[in-house]
Amino acid sequence: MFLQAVANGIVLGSLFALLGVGLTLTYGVMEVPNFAQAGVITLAAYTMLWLNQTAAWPFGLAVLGGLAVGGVLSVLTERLAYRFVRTRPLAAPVVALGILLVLDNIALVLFGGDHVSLSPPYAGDALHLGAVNVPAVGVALIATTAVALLALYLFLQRTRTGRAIRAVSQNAEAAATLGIRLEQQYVISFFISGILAGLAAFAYGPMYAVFPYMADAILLNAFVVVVLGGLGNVGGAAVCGLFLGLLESFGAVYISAAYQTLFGFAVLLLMIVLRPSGLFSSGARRIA
Amino acid sequence: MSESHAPRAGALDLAAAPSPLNRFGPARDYFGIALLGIGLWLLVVETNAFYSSVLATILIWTIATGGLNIIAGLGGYPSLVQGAFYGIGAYGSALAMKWGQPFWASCFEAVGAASLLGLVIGLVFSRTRGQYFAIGTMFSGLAVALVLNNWRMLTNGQLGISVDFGFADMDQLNIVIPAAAALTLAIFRFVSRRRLGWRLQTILEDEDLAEHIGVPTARTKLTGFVLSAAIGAVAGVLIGQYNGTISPDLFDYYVGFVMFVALSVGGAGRVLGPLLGSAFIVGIPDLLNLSSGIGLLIAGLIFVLVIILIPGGFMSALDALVRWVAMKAARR
Repeated sequence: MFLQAVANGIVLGSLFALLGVGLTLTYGVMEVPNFAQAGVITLAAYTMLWLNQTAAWPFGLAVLGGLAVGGVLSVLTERLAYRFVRTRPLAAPVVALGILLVLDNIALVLFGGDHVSLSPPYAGDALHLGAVNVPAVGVALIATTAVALLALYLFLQRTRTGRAIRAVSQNAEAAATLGIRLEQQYVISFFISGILAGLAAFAYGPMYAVFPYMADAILLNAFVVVVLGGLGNVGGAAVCGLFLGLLESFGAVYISAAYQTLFGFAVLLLMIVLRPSGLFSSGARRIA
Repeated sequence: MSESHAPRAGALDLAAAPSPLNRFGPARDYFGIALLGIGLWLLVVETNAFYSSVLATILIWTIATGGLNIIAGLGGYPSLVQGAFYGIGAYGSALAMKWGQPFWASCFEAVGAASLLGLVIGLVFSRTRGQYFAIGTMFSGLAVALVLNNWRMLTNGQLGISVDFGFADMDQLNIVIPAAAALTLAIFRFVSRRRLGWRLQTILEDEDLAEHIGVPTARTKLTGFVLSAAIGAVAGVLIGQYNGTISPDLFDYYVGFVMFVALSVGGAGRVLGPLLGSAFIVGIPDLLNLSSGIGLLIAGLIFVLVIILIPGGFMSALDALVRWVAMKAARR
C-alpha cells in the first residue's frame, strides 16, 4: 500500500512537473497565467489519436505530429492573443479563459464529446517491482518527464537562447536594453511550452481518457507547482511537481480521494502564509 | 468641444475617470439607477416567462458581479472566487431555513457566512498580488466547490437540495431581484466615491506608492474583498429563491472565473459594467440557444476579441459612442 502510493505519487508527480515546467516558462517571460495550455494539451492529444487511429500512422510518428501541433498552437495563442494583453495584467486571465474555451470547443466540434482512449503499443504492459505495479504508460510518463526536464535544463542553462529567455523572465526591460529581442523569446518560450503540452498529452492521454475537457482540472494542480516552485525555475518546478504528486497520492490513499486536489491547495495556503516569496524564490520577482 | 474628456489610454476606465456619462452629479446618478431598476422590474414582469427568467438570471448575476466590481474593478485584484460566495449564499440560506430559521434570518446568516469566508480567504491571499492572487482565489473557489460536491450529509452531493420559498409570492421576488440589482449598482456608485473606493483606486494605480502615502493597503483590500463576498452571497440567496433547487454545478469553480470575465467584458470599475457584462455572458448563450460546442467556441472568441479590442469593456465603447454623438451635435 505504502510503496504503491509512492509509485503512484511519482507517476502523478512527473505529470505535474511536466505541466508545471511548461507553465512556469511562459508565465516567467510574459506573466500570463496560461490556462490555454489545457486546450493545447487536448488538441495535441486528439491529433495523436486521429493520426494514429484514423490516418493509421505508426504511434511514434503520430506522437511527433501531435507535438508539432502543440507547439504551433501554443505559438498561435501568443501571436494572436496574449501579446496584445502583455501590459494588462487584469486582462490576461480573461483572454486565457477565452482561448481555453475556443480550443476545448474546437476539439468538441471536431471530435465529439466522447471519452476515447489513446492506446500506445505498450498499453497493456506493466512493470512489477515486488508488490508494486507500475503500468507501462506510467513508466513512459516518468521517462518522458525526466528526459524533457533534463533537455530543458540544459537548454536554459547552456545555450544562448536559453540564457536570453531567463534574462527576459528576470527583467524584461533590462533584457531589452541589453539587446535581447523580446518578441523572439516570447515565441520560443511559447513553442517550447507547446511541445511540453504535447508531451503531457502523450503521457497523460493513455493513462486517463481523451476528451475535450481532459486537462482542465489537472492544470490547476500545475498552477500550484508553478507558485510553489518559483517562476522560471525548472528545478523548483520539477521538485515541487514530484512533491505535490506524492502528497496527493498519499492524501488520496490515507485521507480521501474526493478531496485529492485540495491537498495541493492546503500546501499553497501554508506556503503563502509562511513563505510568501516562494519555496525556491531567487528574489528576482515578488509575489506579495 | 474640448478634449478634456478623452479617456486615459491603456488604464482601465474607472468610475471616477473623466467620461461624458459621469458629468452629472451624484443625485442624478442615483436617480438614473433607480429609474433603471424600475425599468428592469417592468421588463421582468411584462415579458413572457422565458425572457423573464433569462432577465432575472442576468440581474442575479449583475448583483454577484457588481459585488466583484468593488475588489476587482476598483482595487484591480482579479478575484476568481466570487462564485464560491455566490454558492455559500445559496446553500447557507437554504440550509438555515431547513434548520428552522425564518427567511430573513437565513439571509443574514448566509451573508455572514460568506463574509467570514471572505475574511479568511482575504487574510491569506491579499498578501499576494496579480496572477498569484488570481490563482489563489481560483483554488479557494475549487475548495468550496469540492465541499459542496462531496459533503453529502449537508449538501446532498450533486443531486442538490430544494430551497424553501421565503417570499409571499413570485411577484414579490420579481420586485426584490431588480431592486437588489439596482441597489448593488447604487452601493458600488456610493463606495467608489467614498474613502474605501478612493483607497482601492490608489491601490489599482500603484500599490507600493499607495502604501508610501499612508493608505492602509492590507486593511483596504480586506474590507473591499469582504464587501464583495457579502454582496456575492446576496446573489446566491436570490438564485436559490428563484430556482427553488440548487446543485453544486451552479457554483462550480469556473463560475467565479466566468463572473470575472463578465465584469471585464462589461467594464471593470464602471457602475453599469456588471449589468452589461452579465447580460452578455448569461443572455447571449440563453437567447441564441446555440449548441454547446459552437456556442462556447464563439463565446470564447468574443471574450478574447472584446478584451483585446476594447480594453475598458462595453462601457468604454459606450463612452466613445456618446462622445462621438456629442461631438456631432456640437458641430451642428
